[in-house]
Amino acid sequence: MSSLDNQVIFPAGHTNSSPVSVRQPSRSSNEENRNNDETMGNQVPDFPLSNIDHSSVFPGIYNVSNTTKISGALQKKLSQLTTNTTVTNSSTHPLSSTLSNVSLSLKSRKRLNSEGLTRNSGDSEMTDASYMVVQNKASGTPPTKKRLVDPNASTTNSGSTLHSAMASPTSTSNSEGMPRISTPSNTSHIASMPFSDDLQQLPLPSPSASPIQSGQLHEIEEGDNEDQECDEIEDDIARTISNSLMKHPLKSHDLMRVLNDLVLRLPPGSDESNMLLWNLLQRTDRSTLSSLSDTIKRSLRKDIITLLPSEITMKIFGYVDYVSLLKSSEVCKNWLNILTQSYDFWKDLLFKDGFISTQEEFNAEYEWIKSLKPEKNSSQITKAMYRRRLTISRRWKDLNFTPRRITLPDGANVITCLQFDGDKIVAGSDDHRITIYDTLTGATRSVLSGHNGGVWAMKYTGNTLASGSTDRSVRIWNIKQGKCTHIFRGHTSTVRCLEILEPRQIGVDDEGKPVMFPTQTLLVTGSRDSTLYVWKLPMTGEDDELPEEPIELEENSNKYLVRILRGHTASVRAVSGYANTLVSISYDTNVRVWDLRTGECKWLLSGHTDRIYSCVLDTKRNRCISGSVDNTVRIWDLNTGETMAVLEGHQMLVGLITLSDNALVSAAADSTVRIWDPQTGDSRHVLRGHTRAITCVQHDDNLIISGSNGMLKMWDTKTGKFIRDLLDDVDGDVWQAKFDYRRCVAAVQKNDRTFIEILDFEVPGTSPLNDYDEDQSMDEFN
Amino acid sequence: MAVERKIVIITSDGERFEVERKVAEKSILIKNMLKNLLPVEGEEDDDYDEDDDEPIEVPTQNVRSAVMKNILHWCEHYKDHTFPDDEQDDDSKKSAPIDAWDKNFLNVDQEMLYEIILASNYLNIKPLLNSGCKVVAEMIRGKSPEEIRKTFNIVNDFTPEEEVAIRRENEWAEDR
Repeated sequence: MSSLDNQVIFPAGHTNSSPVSVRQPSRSSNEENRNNDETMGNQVPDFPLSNIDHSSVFPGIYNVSNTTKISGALQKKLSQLTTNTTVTNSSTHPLSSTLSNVSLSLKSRKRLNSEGLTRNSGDSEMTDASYMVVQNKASGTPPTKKRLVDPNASTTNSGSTLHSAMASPTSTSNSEGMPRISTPSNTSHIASMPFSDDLQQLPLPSPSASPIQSGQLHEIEEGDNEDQECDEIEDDIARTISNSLMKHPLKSHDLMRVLNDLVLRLPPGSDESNMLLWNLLQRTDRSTLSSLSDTIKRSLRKDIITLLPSEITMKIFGYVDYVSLLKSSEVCKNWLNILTQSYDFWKDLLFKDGFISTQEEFNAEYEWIKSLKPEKNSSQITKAMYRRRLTISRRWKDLNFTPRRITLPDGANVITCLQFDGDKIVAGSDDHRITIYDTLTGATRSVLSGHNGGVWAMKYTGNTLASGSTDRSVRIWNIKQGKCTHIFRGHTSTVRCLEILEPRQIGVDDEGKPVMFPTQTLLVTGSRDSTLYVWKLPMTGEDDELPEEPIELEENSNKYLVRILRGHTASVRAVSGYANTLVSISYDTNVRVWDLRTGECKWLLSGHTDRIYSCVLDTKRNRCISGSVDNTVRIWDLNTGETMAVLEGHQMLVGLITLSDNALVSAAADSTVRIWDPQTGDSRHVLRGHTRAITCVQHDDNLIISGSNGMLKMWDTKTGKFIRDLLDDVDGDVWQAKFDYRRCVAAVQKNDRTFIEILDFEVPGTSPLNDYDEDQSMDEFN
Repeated sequence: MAVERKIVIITSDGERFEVERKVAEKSILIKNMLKNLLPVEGEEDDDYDEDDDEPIEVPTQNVRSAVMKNILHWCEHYKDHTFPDDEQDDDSKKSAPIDAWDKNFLNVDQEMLYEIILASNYLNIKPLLNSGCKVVAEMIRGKSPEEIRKTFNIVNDFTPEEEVAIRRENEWAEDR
């Protein structure tokens, strides 16, 4: 449709001109403008768009270039017409042919007719507004009493502007077979009208016509009637135009009205509209354009969120924090709907903000809340989860919040190892026993007895617990039943450390299936005998029937023993592993890196100058970090076996190292805790406040908890700032301290007695979920 | 073939953009189209090269030329840049700020931003889509609902009662 219309309006011969040829004529037309301006002696306004090729804006409208060209040519012609009174016999006056062409093209869109005509009353406002502009523009023109053109004084600045605007979407004369409304006698009148009219009279809608003009116009009408093709002008629009041309003396006012009528009848967004617009814009000065551009920009604002496909909307909200997510849901119904349709927004945030790190953890809590509130949809549940986690996490740093505290007396012993979850707390002691407490109530569930020496290493997974003792044995326990299932013998000295390795994916096979290692859960024990034993961990279910006595296995007859890792020449002090990689450190000052698939020692990392006390494996960066009595921390590259960094600063032995995604923390006998950049090894913060050697430390990306004699302190991981003392009545050692998202569990000494302290930041009655269900205790979830 | 065949992208409004192949291939959609059209180098079939001088025309019905011009500007800027495979966009990438060049590039009116996002989605240009989404997210972040409404020209269609109810439900976020 658009190309057809173009052809009606524009000569076919011009349609295929290449874009390159556009610029020349466009420029020349502009020069024309400028020449006119100069001849009028007016101030030259700045028209920023006048030099710009329209095709950058309306590339689809190839013909505009020709228009520009024509308008240049037209202007010459017009200025000739207006300056030269002798122009007669011009049967095809540009303006009249413009009108007829446009009317014809409009005729092809009959659908517009009725609509267009009914708009007339509204249009008049437009006309007035437009005319005001004209009036302003032409204010430099001396008023003249003449109604008709004085050709010699006709061309004003504003006039030429109008003319171009009018003439631009037109052809000159080669629209064969078109009805014309022009006669030689009136052409110069029509053409010159807008420029010469007395502006003072403009506000009057139709001043009395002069007899001469009326006569002339009647002539036109007659001429029209005689025209054989006149019946083609059936168009109401065309008639409107003709009428306005015939009935009234043609003043700027009327012409503006005709122009406006025309403009308002153009289909919105059509090529014709766009071209008219462009031509007008080219004649618009800088400050007007600036105001326009501001308005346009504001009017282009729209509800992108609702309009975009939902997968993109999801993506956008994925980049937004929780506060903005909530604010967004308050914007309007559409946004609220979008945000309550999917549970992914809140689920993603739970992971992104570090509240939940595993799918299992997520599923467990999700199911728990769902069971409490079955009528809630998935989005409401994940939102409730986020709210709960956020609220609890804030309480840790809120000094006005006092966690619920449970204190459990444990005896006069030393707690050597501690591990807990929402269900149970497990504490290994130098008094040979391992005690299992109920996390919620603090009640003792069971005491695991059997070792004949102090327990110095202990870890559990699921229902299976492994422990190592000074009695040189390794024992495996069924936690639920509180019974020892296996005794592994082999080590010839104290079992000082142990690690449990769960199956992990380490690659894919030829068929793309995941390759797991280990294929079943492994236990690695390290001993003062300088060896490491790798065992298959015998696991028993909660309700499995167990033999009366534990199965006791010697080294040479133990089907669970996989291999022995030999190489260290002194006591193995700590071990850390993941998948097939195992790191062990020893008093022999060396770090050894083992491949558990083969038992091969991949790296012997030498560099520390004294015994090594602690190590941690950085699986994400394939590194390991070790802390030594030589006061340094070393970061090792497991790809090359080289030292990547030596972290210096501690003044005494570095006994503890822990790692989170974004922070490496070391704690030393010099009573300081230090935070390092795990990537570069750069020192970030030194945490001072303890007065004795640090005995325990744990951290995540938000919090650090550290214990020393008489103190259990909490710090901000990001800023290194001290937050609070978690316990204020400890007068002895803090043996162990561990925390999860809602609890801190510590083994401390008071009055020479040992206690297990539980600090719970989700106090009964203060559960963030209480809003959702007041009747049920929310605390039964861990 | 010594001379690389030219790619001509034709927009919905008929504009033709001639670009290098690697520029066009920033769009995975076009890349896959070309994979089927153009033989891989070295696997030239001998009996058919009369068309080799002809540019390959790629019509993109959903993108108008003003938008395509911007998109190709972006593709040109990154033509020698290899983006990591971001199928599993992990959390660190999600919190990464908008690339400074992209941010400046996307400093356009909302209509253009909207169309660039749609086009990058249609043309499958993930890094540009990501940047576009981040820019929109920036327009939301840290704003009050009223400010967001103003930004996107949205009318508040909640009743006062509904508004109070939603605000109460979200109160916990204001705790600090």
